[in-house]
Amino acid sequence: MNQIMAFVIAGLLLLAVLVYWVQRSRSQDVKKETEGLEEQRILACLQFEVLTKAFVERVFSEQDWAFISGRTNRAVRRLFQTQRRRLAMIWLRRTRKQVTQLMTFYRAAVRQKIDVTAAVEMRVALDYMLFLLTYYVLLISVWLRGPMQARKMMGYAVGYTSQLCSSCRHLFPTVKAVDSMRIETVSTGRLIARQ
Amino acid sequence: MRADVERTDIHRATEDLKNRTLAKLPGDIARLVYLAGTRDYNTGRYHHDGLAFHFTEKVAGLALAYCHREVFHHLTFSSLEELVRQLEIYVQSTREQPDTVLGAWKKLESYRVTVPLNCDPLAAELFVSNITIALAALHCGRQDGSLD
Repeated sequence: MNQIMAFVIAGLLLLAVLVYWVQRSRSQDVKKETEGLEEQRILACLQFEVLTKAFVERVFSEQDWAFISGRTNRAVRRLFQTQRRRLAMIWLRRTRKQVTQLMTFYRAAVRQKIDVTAAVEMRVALDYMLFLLTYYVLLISVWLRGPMQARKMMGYAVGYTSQLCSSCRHLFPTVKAVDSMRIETVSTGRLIARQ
Repeated sequence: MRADVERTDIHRATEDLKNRTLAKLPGDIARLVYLAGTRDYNTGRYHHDGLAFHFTEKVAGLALAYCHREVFHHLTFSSLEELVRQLEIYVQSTREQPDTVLGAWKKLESYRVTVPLNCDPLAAELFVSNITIALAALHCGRQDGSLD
């Protein structure tokens, strides 16, 4: 009787372990799928950021500054500088955060994939370093001197971010490049792109 | 097939709205205010009796939302000079005292409710920022006549 009980208990334990392994592998698949979607969302979001040149061009617009400085008083000029500095800083911080997220996913994806060449990895690393360097210089420049004086540097930041996206793209072949003017909304988890 | 039919209907509803209603409004800010006004503040859904009568409630809502986003996008990425000009046109169209309108807009920040529901937060920030600057520029211009 004791032996039968022992076998029954052992069998139940084995069954429990098997059920646990099955559950764990399923949740990992779901997690990978979710992460895959999340990676694509981040990349798509980043493409959206990079592609919103209209936003960057507006914030750093020389035309706007020429209009304000030529046609208004000192108070309005100061208001303009303050507002544009604020917008530039928000954009910079947001881009930095998304690039960091992209790199986190990139590193995780590279660990799983075996067809990433050393040249590609070095390229991504270089683009990331250049982006970080430009980002910090730009942040300080905008904070100290305002966005108008940092216009050229902003072009570099956008360029390096775009290069980074292109370098990472091969890991996410299903994400299509989308025209910035046709992307309508970004909300949590959902990107609506009109063709 | 059904999606194609719906897309066609939305396109037709949009054209109808633009040609019959929006074209008659004086400037983009008036259009933005009008389109934002068709939105229910509690649900965020758009409603237009005439449009819903000719199409469906859903199609009318989508057409209104599309036009709203389009006008908002255009204004958000316009130059400040253009925005000031649009604001001037709008203020004149209200037939109220310009200082009253400008003062109310500055204090109430009524322009904030004209932002579409699901637009990018950065675009919303840019729009609000530009309107703030444009209001100040217009007020300054009225004081010294430099924007006439």
